[in-house]
Amino acid sequence: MPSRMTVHKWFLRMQYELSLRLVSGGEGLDKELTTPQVSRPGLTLAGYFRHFDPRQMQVLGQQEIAYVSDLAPARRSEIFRQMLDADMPCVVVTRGLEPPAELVEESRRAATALLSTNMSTGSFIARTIVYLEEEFGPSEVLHANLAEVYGVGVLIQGKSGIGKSECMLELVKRGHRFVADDSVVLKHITGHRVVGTSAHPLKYYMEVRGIGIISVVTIFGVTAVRSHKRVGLVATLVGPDEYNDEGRTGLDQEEVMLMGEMLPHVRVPVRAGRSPAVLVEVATMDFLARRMGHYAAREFDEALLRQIESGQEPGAAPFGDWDDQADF
Amino acid sequence: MATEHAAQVVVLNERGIHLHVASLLAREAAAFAADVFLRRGDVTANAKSVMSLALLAAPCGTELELSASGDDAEAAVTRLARRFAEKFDAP
Repeated sequence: MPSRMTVHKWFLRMQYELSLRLVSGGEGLDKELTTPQVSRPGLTLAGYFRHFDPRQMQVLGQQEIAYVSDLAPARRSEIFRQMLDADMPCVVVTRGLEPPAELVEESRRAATALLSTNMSTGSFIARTIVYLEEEFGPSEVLHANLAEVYGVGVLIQGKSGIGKSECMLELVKRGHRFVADDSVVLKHITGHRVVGTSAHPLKYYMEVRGIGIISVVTIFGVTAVRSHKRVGLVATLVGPDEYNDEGRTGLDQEEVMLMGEMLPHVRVPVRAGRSPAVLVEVATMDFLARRMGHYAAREFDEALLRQIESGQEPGAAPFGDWDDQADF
Repeated sequence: MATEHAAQVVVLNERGIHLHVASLLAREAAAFAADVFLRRGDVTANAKSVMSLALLAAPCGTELELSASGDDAEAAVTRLARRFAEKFDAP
């Protein structure tokens, strides 16, 4: 886990999506969420405190609110006092229901945030658990770069000094977007996705050999950066000593394992005076074409096999006619 | 000293010089400094280029003229002629 996961952080991140509103106990926003689980404290409100887990956020829905509203005010105060004394991260009332006055009072006294949402209990819990599981999910820091190229997150890796930063710089210069340079935090999230962001607290800076630290936002503007991106393609820059052109026709899709997910992989040869950024760009375009079912290498091979099987002598326009060239 | 060498080779791969075979052939040829060519009738292909080899559209049984020029031309012709006979270890 990269940093402390506080109620405040969750609230700021999700307040619009979950239509959250702070009712009382704002000084308790700094409390920490330590588990992705949430609790509906029905039995607790009935006075059964065994197995009550105060580490969980407590969610009160229609049933819970209906139950406590049937209690005598003194009993309501008592049960909320007992519950809030257990020190949970926060309490949420769903469906836009009015939180009972005793609960508001106890949340102030215990300095525990009381929040309200218009969402149904089920949707609220489902979205909250997904968010928290992502936050608490496994993460990994990689010595690599992450760029968004034509909408695809491309993780650029390779040995130190091979030119990853220069490649990134050229991609940004060509209109693509910067996500992270040098160190990428990868997170495995639900739905078999790997998402990356910068490992540096100060995002959008990069070190360029010979120039020093530059600010990507200042130089290239706000549209040249994004904070995080799902990884769709892995590109490894390789020097001439590592690159063996093992029949690189593109007939087979190479893959690489990243945080338990298989991702398409390309190896980009780097040589002095050549631009790996253009190769990364074209590899990404080919990746997009393949995703749409256009497998260039296979189409080419099929056309070639038809030509071979036709028994025609070579030399006469092998792949179709000139009918698409109307401009002469 | 630059020399020139040539030999006749026959395509033994069942489906001819399709993309996979072309890529294996190009890789073998690229290991030599010499320029390596394959001729079928009027068409001459640069053996180091997959796209060029595709122009040959050579089916199984085609006879090709293999030629090379450069310092290691003889080694290139010897090696590639053997690899044709071995079908480049491919179908």
